[in-house]
Amino acid sequence: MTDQAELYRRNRTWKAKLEFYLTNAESIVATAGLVLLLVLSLAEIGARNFFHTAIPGADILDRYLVLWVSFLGAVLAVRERHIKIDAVAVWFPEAWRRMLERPIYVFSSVVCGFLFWAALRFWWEEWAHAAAAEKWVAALAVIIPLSFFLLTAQFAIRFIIGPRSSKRAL
Amino acid sequence: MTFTVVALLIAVAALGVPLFVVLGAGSLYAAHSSGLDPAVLVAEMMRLASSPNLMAIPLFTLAGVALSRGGAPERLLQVFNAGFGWMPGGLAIVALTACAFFTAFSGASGVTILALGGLLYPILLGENYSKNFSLGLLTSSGSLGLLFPPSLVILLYGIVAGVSIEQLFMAGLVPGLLLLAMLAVYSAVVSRHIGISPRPFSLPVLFSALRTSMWDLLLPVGIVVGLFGGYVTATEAASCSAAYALLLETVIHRRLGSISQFYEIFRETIVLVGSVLIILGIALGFTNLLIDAQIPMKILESLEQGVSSQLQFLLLLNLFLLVVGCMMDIFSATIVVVPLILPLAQRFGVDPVHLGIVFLANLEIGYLTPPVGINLFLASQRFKEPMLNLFRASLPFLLIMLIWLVLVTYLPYLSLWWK
Repeated sequence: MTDQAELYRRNRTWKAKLEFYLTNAESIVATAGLVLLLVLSLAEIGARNFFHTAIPGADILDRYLVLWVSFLGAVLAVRERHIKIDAVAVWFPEAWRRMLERPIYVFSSVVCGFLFWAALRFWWEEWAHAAAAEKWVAALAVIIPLSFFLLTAQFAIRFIIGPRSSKRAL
Repeated sequence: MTFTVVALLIAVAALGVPLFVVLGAGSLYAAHSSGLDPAVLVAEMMRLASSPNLMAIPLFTLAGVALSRGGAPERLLQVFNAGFGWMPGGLAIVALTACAFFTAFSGASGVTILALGGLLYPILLGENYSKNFSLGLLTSSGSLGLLFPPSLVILLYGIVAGVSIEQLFMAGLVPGLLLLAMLAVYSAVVSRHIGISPRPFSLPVLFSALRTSMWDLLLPVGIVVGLFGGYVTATEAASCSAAYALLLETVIHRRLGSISQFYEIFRETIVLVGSVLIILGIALGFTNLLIDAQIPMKILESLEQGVSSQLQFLLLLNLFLLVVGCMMDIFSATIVVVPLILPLAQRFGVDPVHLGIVFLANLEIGYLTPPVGINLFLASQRFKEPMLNLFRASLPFLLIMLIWLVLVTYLPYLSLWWK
């Protein structure tokens, strides 16, 4: 069976499909954010040096784009790799580590859920109290609650799907 | 109660829960026990949006990923080989310089061992270097170059500690070169001992190698001149580097062309950056709670009873950081530990720029020490050798690095000569 076909076969279950599409969407938005960040920062350098002017709002947009890119990157890292201090687990046999995966995912999902709730309330307050001219900045900050929601969801999906075959690369 | 929670969190971290989750759980508990709304954590996290230098991190990472995907490691190897291969211990010196150069760009994410180590290992063996020496050399080279611009950990330290990034880059130059020189001398001595004769120098070969890799070499030169000459800020240097690297691999070397290749590069960058910056975001809230609870002050008080001089403090700091380096990767350690030691260092009159270099020097050594020396892991994956063998092979290099650490710590002049 080719890799693609193998992937397709695995992606037939609704859980795997959900994870697949969710990850794709996150990754497209994050990539667009990084492209925009690069283009915008170059345009700013150009505007400053050649036209002695600044692009209005670009500075703030840059900083929020960094947040969008990094927080969505953190969501994508759930599937790929998060930084861990697994000083003990690395010495465990493969089977033990696989057994640990589900409890780790459920714990992570719960913690991210609490953080999501805190982030949502904080964001809502900021949004409600922002002046009309600042609404767009407050709107950009939605990435914090959004990404904690996605982190909660991704960890939960991984918990449901369970340990992946070590043969699978994606 | 607090003690139990801390012990529990350390236990789940050791079992492999992502670090940002562990810190998140710790922050939630700390907020709860001091009667605060956990929304304060999010307020701190939003401080990320007010850090002007943060933008440099994704953009320099993008430059590094584009270069590494576009075949820069092979080109660098060629040119350093033509330039230094004729010296005693030539090939080993080539390995050291190429790795240092590349780590500065790839940001110590272990790409060096994976990309260059695999290329260099068979060549070193082919030139009759012993297996142990080659493995030790390549394993320890994976973190050389951490102190050179545009190293990501230096950027991160600057952001976390609120220290000028240009000054940090300036401070890292001499210590970084010193370590390279010390390891190069050791390699020359070993190769003479083994009886490896240097290869003849060829000007045409050097020229042809320079022609291929000239554009790669211009990038760091541009960054150094631009930053130290005051022509560009760190973020401007970062966006120019990213654009340059993408253009270089697309137009000049033509290694990248398809949309899917670009997508892969951007995606890899995003995941790398995301996994680091989320820890930073959470840790901002966490360390703030620790400071509110006056934890650094309490550590300081207990320190002041036993420690009276700067020298004693630095010694203690070295020991502490070596332990931290054994347990944590360099990014997490910078984010979590720096806010705690910074006030202590200031109390004992240590310059924050010098502290940065000492800090990173310590953690660079931590890359080579079990149980979680990341270089040992990567090298063990790459060279299919057990970690303990690699550790043993790296010991002479580790020893040299420890001597270097002592020099860097107790001779602040090495880092601060320009002040």
